[in-house]
Amino acid sequence: MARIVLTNAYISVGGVDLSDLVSSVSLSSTFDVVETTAFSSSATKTRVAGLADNSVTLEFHQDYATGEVEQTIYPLLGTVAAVIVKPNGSTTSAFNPSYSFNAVISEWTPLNGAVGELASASVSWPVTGAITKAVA
Amino acid sequence: MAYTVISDREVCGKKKGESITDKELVDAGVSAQALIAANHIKASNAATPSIKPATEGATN
Repeated sequence: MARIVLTNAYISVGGVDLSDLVSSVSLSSTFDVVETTAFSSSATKTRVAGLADNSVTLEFHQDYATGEVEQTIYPLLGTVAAVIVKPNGSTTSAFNPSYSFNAVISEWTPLNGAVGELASASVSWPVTGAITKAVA
Repeated sequence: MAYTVISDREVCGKKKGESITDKELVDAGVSAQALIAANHIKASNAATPSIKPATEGATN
């Protein structure tokens, strides 16, 4: 299996393919660690996994034109939206798994940037429910 | 209810000019209202008026 350099990641938010306006994507999944240590001869702590907590972080290039980033995300603010991310293009396969989930569109930065910089919007949205991984 | 993709961006895998149904949107877990507000889709089977305007001189 080859290493992969991300050049063509697929990102869909609310059903809309916004891949060419996203410069960074990170899907994170962590579990609470619940301690279960009890008296035993092993003298070690024991633990089990608790609740999962997932989130997605995206860096958008801002675009106010019809059907672009601002018009797509703004109506979703404060709602739950379907998000799909894939490492390499839209075709799902064993080597290009699809991760689909619902994210709470909890933050948005309609205007962000300094003089001479590209207008961008960096967001971190919590996932509600499970992440579904598909390979076909 | 059916919609037509009017955006240059793919919507649930559909390209501009293609039709997408309410069921497809629901299955994808996306909001038709948000997509309409964002100018990605429009209703493609808008009801036609069933009442015709009265014509002058018509009798009952």
